Amino acid sequence: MKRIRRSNHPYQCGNDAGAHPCRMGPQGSNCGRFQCVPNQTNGVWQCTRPAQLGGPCEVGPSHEGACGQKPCHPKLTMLGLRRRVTLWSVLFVLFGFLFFGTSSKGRQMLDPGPRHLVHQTIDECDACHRQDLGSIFDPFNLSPMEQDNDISMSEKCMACHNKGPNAILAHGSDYSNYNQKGDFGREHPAGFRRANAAQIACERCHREHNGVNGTLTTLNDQQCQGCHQSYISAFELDHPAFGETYGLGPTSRIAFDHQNHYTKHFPEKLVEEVDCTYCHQAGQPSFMPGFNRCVECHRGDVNGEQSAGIKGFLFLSVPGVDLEALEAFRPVFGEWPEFADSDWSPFFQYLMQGSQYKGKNSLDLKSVDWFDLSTTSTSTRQLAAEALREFKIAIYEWSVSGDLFLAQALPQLGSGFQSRERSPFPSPSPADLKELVQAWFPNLSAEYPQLIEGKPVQWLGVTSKSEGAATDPAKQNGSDVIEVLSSEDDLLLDEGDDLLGDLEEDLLEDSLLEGDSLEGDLLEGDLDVEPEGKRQNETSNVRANEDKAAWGGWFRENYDLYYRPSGHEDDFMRFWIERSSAHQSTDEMLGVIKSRFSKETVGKCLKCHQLDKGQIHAWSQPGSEPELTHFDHVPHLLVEGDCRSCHPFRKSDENGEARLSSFEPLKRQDCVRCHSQEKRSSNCQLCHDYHRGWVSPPSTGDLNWKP
Amino acid sequence: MKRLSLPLLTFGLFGFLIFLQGWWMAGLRVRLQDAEWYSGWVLITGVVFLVAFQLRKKLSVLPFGRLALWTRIHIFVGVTSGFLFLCHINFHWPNGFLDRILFSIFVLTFISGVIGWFFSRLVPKQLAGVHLVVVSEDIPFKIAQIKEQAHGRLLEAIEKTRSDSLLSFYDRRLEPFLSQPNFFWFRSRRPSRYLADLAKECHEIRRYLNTEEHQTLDYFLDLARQKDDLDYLFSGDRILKTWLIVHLPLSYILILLALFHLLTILLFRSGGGFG
Repeated sequence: MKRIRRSNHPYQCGNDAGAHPCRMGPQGSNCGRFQCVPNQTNGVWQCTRPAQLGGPCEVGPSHEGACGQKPCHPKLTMLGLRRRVTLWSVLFVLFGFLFFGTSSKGRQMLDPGPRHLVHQTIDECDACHRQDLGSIFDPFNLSPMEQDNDISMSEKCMACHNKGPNAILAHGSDYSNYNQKGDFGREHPAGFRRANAAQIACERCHREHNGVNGTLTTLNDQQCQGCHQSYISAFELDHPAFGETYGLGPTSRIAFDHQNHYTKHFPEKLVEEVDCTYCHQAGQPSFMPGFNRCVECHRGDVNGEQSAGIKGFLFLSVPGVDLEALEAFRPVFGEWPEFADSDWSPFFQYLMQGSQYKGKNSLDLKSVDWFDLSTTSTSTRQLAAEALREFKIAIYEWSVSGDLFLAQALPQLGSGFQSRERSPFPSPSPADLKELVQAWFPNLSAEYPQLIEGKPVQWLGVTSKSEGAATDPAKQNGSDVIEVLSSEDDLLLDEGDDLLGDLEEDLLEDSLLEGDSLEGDLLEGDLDVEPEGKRQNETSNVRANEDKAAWGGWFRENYDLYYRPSGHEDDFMRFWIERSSAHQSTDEMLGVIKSRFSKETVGKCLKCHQLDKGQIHAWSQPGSEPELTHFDHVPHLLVEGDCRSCHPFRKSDENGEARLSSFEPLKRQDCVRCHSQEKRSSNCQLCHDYHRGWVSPPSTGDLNWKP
Repeated sequence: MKRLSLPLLTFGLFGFLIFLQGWWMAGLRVRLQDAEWYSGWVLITGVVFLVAFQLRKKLSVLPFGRLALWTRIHIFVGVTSGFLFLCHINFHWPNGFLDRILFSIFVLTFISGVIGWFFSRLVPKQLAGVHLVVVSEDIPFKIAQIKEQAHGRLLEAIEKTRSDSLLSFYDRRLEPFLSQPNFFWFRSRRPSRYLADLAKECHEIRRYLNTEEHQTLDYFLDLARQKDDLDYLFSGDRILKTWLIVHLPLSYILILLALFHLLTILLFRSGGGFG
């Protein structure tokens, strides 16, 4: 009997291992052996298998009439076994999806790994990921390029890590004009290969789900050079040379003569202590010592103790004026203290000529000899009188409006300051200003309406000759006083010489020395103003003289208002230097800073804080971008031991740059001594940062961020 | 020379494809582009193509190209996808539960495929050395027939010689050997060690047998050789089919997991993945 082979069947005959398998093979998983229904003939059971299936079988029916063919148990073929294993495997996986998908374990299954330690507090996936079901059903909307430029997740990153408007541009800066010498004005040594304005999503470098202690950045040298076109094979071979001031770092903002200090001022200390580390110690930012060492010798420079003159900054002064020459223009500015003998304070010069007053008066205050106007032209005198009028208007408005007046007059310095906010200006309080103005110009409140309207002003010495002045009731009342005082003037000036003799001089001298405006009382007839000793109430911040401001603060000397710094980093000093530095285009203000904070004046700010190329190198420069490099001194000190191995003293200062630093700038070869491929690491990120400054910690306001 | 040049060409092509992938992936990473996204799409396409090979085998009547060509491409795509997969995960052991399972399944599928490729290249050549044409499904049947012949010849010999000298030998050594197909892990040489031992024992007992029994013993030895050949064919056939029992279920699991992985990527769009 020929056997039928079914190699593509999942089952085979259970008797295949025997010598007599069935011919047909199994039917599915059942035995295919034909079983007949035996027929009993003459008491004998006969097989009824048809001839097509081989005819009556050899075994024949049993005595009980059952078919003698025993069905086998079909066995799985290799194909069947493979199918069964495949089916169960697929079912197992699908069951797994179903089980995990519907259980609380589902999310754990989808989690691609633990988040970094700094992101452990984020619980929800959608805090960072954009779960967009629509994208699944619209896969054609997800072209690879779109995915590559997908910055939606970056926007979520920046909800916490605010890196500014250009955060997703290269290095967080807009380099679109870089090669055209636009905003930067210089060529980058490495240039750019790819589109400068290309957006780079945060996750291109910051890969999450790499474990609690996994790295969040994977940038390498090749990736740096993916954008930078100048190929750098090795730091020691073809890295561009360092800049001319590299290595001088923030010290260049402080004019500190290391050589002089090192060799002259404290050599004994250096011998006793530990060399450079006497000032520069680990733990300080960039090893900058701050003022704690300097103050040991220079405290007196700052607070004025060692100053020969007045120990304060002239902030506001009533300038001395040649009143005789301006007699014809008295109605323009009214009363003016006869004994005022100061120059215009630089601050007020700037206030009147560098701000809202600019253009109103074409007179250059510095070009005029205010103590002798007799030789000047009439038009100059007219302008001078106008300037005095504007001065009086300014100080009156200042005394009334307080710092809001300054904010409006100097908008570039008081940016955004509103009346309800805390004043950014470190200036005398309005009450103190009112006292000062009242002392210097007792009738200013009465004169102000005429001053502001440009009308002739009555003054107490000579009645204004302009018509209608005496018809004003207020002025009418004043005229009585004028008459009384005129007679008093006569007494004092014409006949009083004989009557008072030396006594008058004594009175006047005393009043001048004590800073008391006695002339206001006696000569200008303001009887309401009390003597200085009584006016100086307990809450006043303006001291009577510099001795009373020994610990710093405001004090007045005659017709001048001074400020005496309390010490280093005084608020007053910081404000004016920082604001002036921030607004470098304000040349006039820069002039004020130059003249007031020079090393010859109290504070001696500019002795250390440098003015260079039109800007002040303050301790911080608002608006300046941090560099893309970093340097850690500590491991280098551990190896080198001596600071001077990298920072030798500058040999010469032919080009004058020694003023900014006493040291030679660091050169690439100095670093190559150790950092090369053969010796130590020299990869890009050892010194270079991708981001300017450090990535700010999350702000809790924008996200459900749990600390 | 021709025999040497074909493997060289094959491995050269593999090397070129792997280099091409590495160069492409490195370029993507250097340009700070989403290398995982691009390589993922290539991988999922490759896996679908690899699984489609099984479909092609089922639909042999359709004009989808020759099966031999499909097999060749299947091997090329399969082997090269292994390197691309390593690039895709950036040569890191993944951190996520699903990712680790996917990684394991891919690796097992890849290894089973490579082993299967190795066997499918080697075993048929070895089997061709057996000058015996038997359909693999008939091997157990043939072995049963051999056993039946041996049993019949034994009874005949006992009846003729009235001696049970061969009976113990048959019961002890021959009958167990002929009872069922014996599976051996692939062996490079024939005959089997068992057959060699059997022949040695036949030689040792020959001195105790008469001439009639000598003929019977020779007949037994001849049947044992046939059985050994059938065992050899049986083992080769079993090896060629067994690796598929591992490889194919893994392939289906792999494509399921890969599609699920793609689904999660599309759902969560950017971020995640391996570092």
